Order: sequence, then structure tokens, then C-alpha cells
Amino acid sequence: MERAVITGLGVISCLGLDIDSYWAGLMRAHQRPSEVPDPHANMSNRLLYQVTGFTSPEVGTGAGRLGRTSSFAVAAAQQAVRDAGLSPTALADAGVSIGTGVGDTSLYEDVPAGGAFPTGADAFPFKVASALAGELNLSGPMTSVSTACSASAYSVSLAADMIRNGEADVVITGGADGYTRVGVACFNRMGALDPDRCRPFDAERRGTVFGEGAAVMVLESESHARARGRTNWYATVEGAGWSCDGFHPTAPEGRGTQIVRAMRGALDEAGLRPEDVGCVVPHGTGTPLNDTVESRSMSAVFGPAVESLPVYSLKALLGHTGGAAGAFGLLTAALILDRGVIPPNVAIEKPDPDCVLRLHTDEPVPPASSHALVNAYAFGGNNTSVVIGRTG
Amino acid sequence: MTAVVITGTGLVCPIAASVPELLAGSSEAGPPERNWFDPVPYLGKRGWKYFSPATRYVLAAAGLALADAELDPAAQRDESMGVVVGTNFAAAPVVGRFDDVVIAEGADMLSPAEAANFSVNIPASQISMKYAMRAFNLTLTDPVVAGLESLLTLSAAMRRGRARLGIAGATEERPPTPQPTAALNEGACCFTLELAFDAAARGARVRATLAGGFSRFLPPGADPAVLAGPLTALLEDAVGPLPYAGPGADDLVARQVDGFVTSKAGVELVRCEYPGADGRYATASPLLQLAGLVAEHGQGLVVATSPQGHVAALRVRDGGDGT
Repeated sequence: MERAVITGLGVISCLGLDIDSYWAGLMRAHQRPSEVPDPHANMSNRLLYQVTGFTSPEVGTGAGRLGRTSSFAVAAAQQAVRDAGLSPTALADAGVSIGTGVGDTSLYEDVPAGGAFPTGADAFPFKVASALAGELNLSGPMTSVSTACSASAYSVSLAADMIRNGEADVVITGGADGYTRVGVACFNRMGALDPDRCRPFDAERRGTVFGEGAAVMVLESESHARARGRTNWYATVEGAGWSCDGFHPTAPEGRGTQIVRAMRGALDEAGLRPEDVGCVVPHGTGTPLNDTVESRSMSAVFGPAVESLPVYSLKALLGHTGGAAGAFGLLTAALILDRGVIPPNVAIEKPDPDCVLRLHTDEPVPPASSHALVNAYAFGGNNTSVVIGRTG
Repeated sequence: MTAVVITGTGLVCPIAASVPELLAGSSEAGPPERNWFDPVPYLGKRGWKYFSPATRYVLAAAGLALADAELDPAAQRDESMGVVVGTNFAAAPVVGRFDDVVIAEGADMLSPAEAANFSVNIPASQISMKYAMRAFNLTLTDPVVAGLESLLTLSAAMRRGRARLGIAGATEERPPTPQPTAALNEGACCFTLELAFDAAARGARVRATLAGGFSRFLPPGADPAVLAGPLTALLEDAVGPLPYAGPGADDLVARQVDGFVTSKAGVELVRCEYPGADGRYATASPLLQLAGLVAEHGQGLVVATSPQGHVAALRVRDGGDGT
């Protein structure tokens, strides 16, 4: 069976608009949200980890009218393709497997500010895959996953399946989500936002804070990469575990039965044992119950060793990027394995004694092995864990 | 390859609440009537008040599919059952209504019981909650073709061992639009999928066997010959005449598919048309075509296209050779 290797990365984030500035932001380990400049955001908490300085890429007519999410995705994908060194010819049969929670809802939310009402092909809110395929001239296998906040981790898992099944040699995969007024409003109403910042695993955490951006990867069959002269890549997608709580629309099932199953499923598919994992990028949203359940579930999977296993809490820097969150976790894990460095976590003021995780601060540490596990969970209890490794 | 079979079909849309009604349906003139759907016969008197219309539709269709398959989820292992639902507009009307409230009155005036409905994956999630289907739960959103993708994705996951059975379907609510339109409608259609040997073991009636399919993209101006490879593979063992449902002759891609299949693959297509062939039910449209083909012929080819350039196809063959 073909191995699925990550040969290109692209990112649009609040930390920066390319991989180098993103990594520099991770190493700084300091970022705060700001109030979103939306005059129609009538809500008490308007905090957002915003993408700033971004100019929507110029696109041909094939991509249609891009909302904020699709604009992020196209820009990140263009970077990833350049990074992979793929020519347009090599891309012709490439596929797309992209995750997004809200798609181009911004086109509708822009109407009160004078934007044209989306009509025709633009009226479809979820056309991120169409925008990518149209702009990059891709005609391979397509799918667009919108399983809320685990969408893009699922999209990467499905992209790896496309490679392994021989459906495609190259797949553009990852996730994107832009600011949504309604999304932030609903989290306000549910009392699920932190008034200060996103602070996962902090005893004082009071909810999440949204972020926005896109994390896109070029996933390629190893044989295709080698045939064009590539002998090195960021990482290999080694396994994925899927599960569903089937419990509540928004709350996780308290025992973590299904998120444990997802982690173990990913390890099984990768042919690894828990002690083989050298770094975990958790879902860690800052929501009180979610972080506690995830921490306990990690203890169930890794045993006492969880207290020495390096954990990188990404949302403390990026906020919760919704449907893009899993892809941000995977892209970051790929950089960690490639560079052999886990950036320092954002300082936690008051560690939660119920969350017994090793969240190193101040200085970077090396991953304990060449395999990383990334968790992504969502509304509806829709869980997935993905293992990537830097081997061969 | 492990065979995956369709054992049940369920649908609700303004002109049909069963396959026979779908087959009899012909007139869809004019915009749909509001309040065409009464949840009580499907969902009972309580428990659905805060569900969005798209959630109510898909729960009804899923229940009908399970009943048609004579499949009791409570008798199955929860981690063996997966759910995949396609949609384009399940959340858009909710988001539009919420946005009006936020702008006019503020977020505090939103209903906390309904707030989660802004997320487009809630309809699919409610299926897992209702029937304890815990293998996995996915929502797919490629324009129009995501309904067909739901069957392709669930069956592929079953072959990888991620589930043994499940619900694949699509649901839509009429999208927000500033002008009256008869072009887009609403409803849901679901199928139960099972591994062929499991279906045989429990004596299930097999409606059809999934023979393969694909979801691709035709960039503007691209040569439709790029579809030749996947179409050839899909029709490799097909013998005509093959019942076929898809976009009308005014759809350029569909015409090209017709031409390729007939001339290159050498398979005679027999066009069948069921309500929604024009795509008015978005992701549910191709599934209504599939429901019609399965019921009338037990085999055939469904093709779906989107205005953006998506092209998907799914072929089913007679259920008898599924095992």
C-alpha cells in the first residue's frame, strides 16, 4: 500500500501569512486576541485571533466569488504547492480533500455591510473545494468535510485514504475557516467564550476564543514524490482513528470512551504503541469540560507516561480555528517533526490539577520520538485522532 | 473487494414521502409550499422542537430507511454503525435567521437551545445521537454532489473496517434568497448500507449493490476527457442497456458523459428521470434519482453535476450478486 507523505505546507494565520513567520510566531509563544472590527457584531464578547494584513489572492473566473474562508484556503494552497515544487502539469490529476466548518458564510454576513447577495454558483456556502480546484486546475478526487471542528483532521485522513487506495497521487488537503459573526454570537449565547484569551488546561479557563485562517498541505504518494526526485518530506500520515460520542450536540461524553477509541484507533492503524508517540497536539479548546475529558482520556491511553509526554497546546496561540483546527494541528506537528523542536507553550498562569499534562513553557524541547499524535473533536461528539511520523 | 449493499431507502420531500410516491411524482411547478412537513408521524410529539428543519427531515428519512431495511439499530453494536450526510443548505437558513437577530437585537436574544444549529453538522449528529451510531459521523458539503459522496465515503470506510453498516444520505432546507425562486427545494433522502455478507446473514432484502463511483472536478474549459479514466473503470463490467439518471440534456457535462459512455464505453444508456433531476434538491437530488433507479430497476448509473464544476457518479448493480 502506498504511503502518504506531506511534501508541501502553506498557512494563513494570526501569527503570519507564511510558514516562516508562522513558525517564528510559535517560537515567540505569545499572542492575544483582539476585538473584531465588525460593526454588526452585537455581542458582549467580540474577541478573535484575527488574520491581519491579508490580501485576497487574485483568482481566475473558475474559482467563483471567494468568501474569507475560500480566500484563505486558496492562498495557503498556493504556498503549499510552491513549497512542494509541483508543476501545474503534475497537479492536473490532483485531488482536494478540504475541511471547513462554516465555508463562505461571510458572503452572506457581508450583505448588511453592503455586499452583494450571493446568487447562482456563489450562493452555495460550502465551495472551498470548488475554489481550490477551480483556481489550481485540479480534476482529481474531491471531497469537502464540514464536521465542525474536527472537519480538517478528517479531511486529511480521507486524503491519505485517497493516496493509499490509489485514487490519486497528489491531494491538496487541510482546512480553512474565516470569522463568522453568527458563530461567535452563538458561542456568546452558549456561554462558551473566555473573556480574556484562549487558555487551554488553565484552571481559570472559561471557554474558547475563536481564531481564523487556513492550514493546507500537499499530500503525495511516496512513489510519486520519489519519481520526481524528492527523497525528503515533512512527515508521513501513518494512521487515523474515527469515532462519535453520539451523546450531545455540544458537550463531550464525560468518560471520554469514544475519544480514547479514536486515539487507540489511530495508533493501531499506524502500527504503533502509545510509548512510540513523542508529542501530542491536543484538541484543547479552553472549554472547561472538554479539556478535562481530553486530559483524562490521554491518561487512559498513555498511562502514567502522560506526565512526561510533551504536549503542544496550539490553540493558546491561534485561538480555535474551527474547521481548520485539526489541519493546523497536523501542519504544526509536521513542522515539529521536521525541525526536531517543539516550541514552548504559552505560559499557563494556574495549571489545572485535573489536567495532568506536560505543557513545557519558556524553552522549546525536542519531541520524544519521530511520531506525533493530533486530536480533533467537534460538536456532536465527532472525534478523530491522526498519527504522523518522520520515518524513512 | 468487500461488497456493500443498499438494504433500505427513506425519503421526505414536498411531493413524496415514500419511494412509490417519488415514482409517481411528476409535477413540481411553482415554489414549494411551506409547512409541507409534519414531524409528528416520524419523530413523535416531543423532542424535536429545537431541531432545524433539515435535522427533522434527515431524522425522518433515516428512520424510514431503517424501517425499510427492517434494521433495528438497538440490536447492533454501537461502534459498528457510521453516519455520513451530505448537505449544502442545512445551516444557511438558520444562520440567516440568527444573523438578523444578532444585528437587530443582539446575541443575547438568540435561543440558547437552538444556538448549536448554526453548525452544519448538527443534522448528521442527531442521527448518531438518536440511534447510538458511534463508529463515526461525517458531514460532506461539496455542492450538489455531496449526497452521492456520502454513499461513496461510507462504503469506502466500511471496506476499511471503520464500520459494518450505517446511514448515508443528504438533507436540505431551502436556502435564503432575496428573490422568490422555484429553483431550490428541500427535503432529505437516506439509505442504509450494510456489508453484503452481514445483510445476507440476517436475511435482509438487498435492494442493490454498490458497484463503484467517483467525485471529480472539471475546471472551466477543461477537456471532459479527464473523466474518461474514472468512467471507464466504473463501467468496466457494465452491460447495456443501463438505466441512467442525472442532469438533463441542457447540462453540458451530462451530455459529454452520455456521449462518452455510449461511444467509448459501448454501453447503451436508458434515461430515467425522477423528481429533482434538475438538481433542485441540491445534495438530495442525486439521491432521489438513486432511490428511483434502485426501486424501478435495481441497477443503474447516477450522475450529478454542480454549477461550480463538480461531477460525481455512482453505479449500482442488481442486488442478487452482492454476496
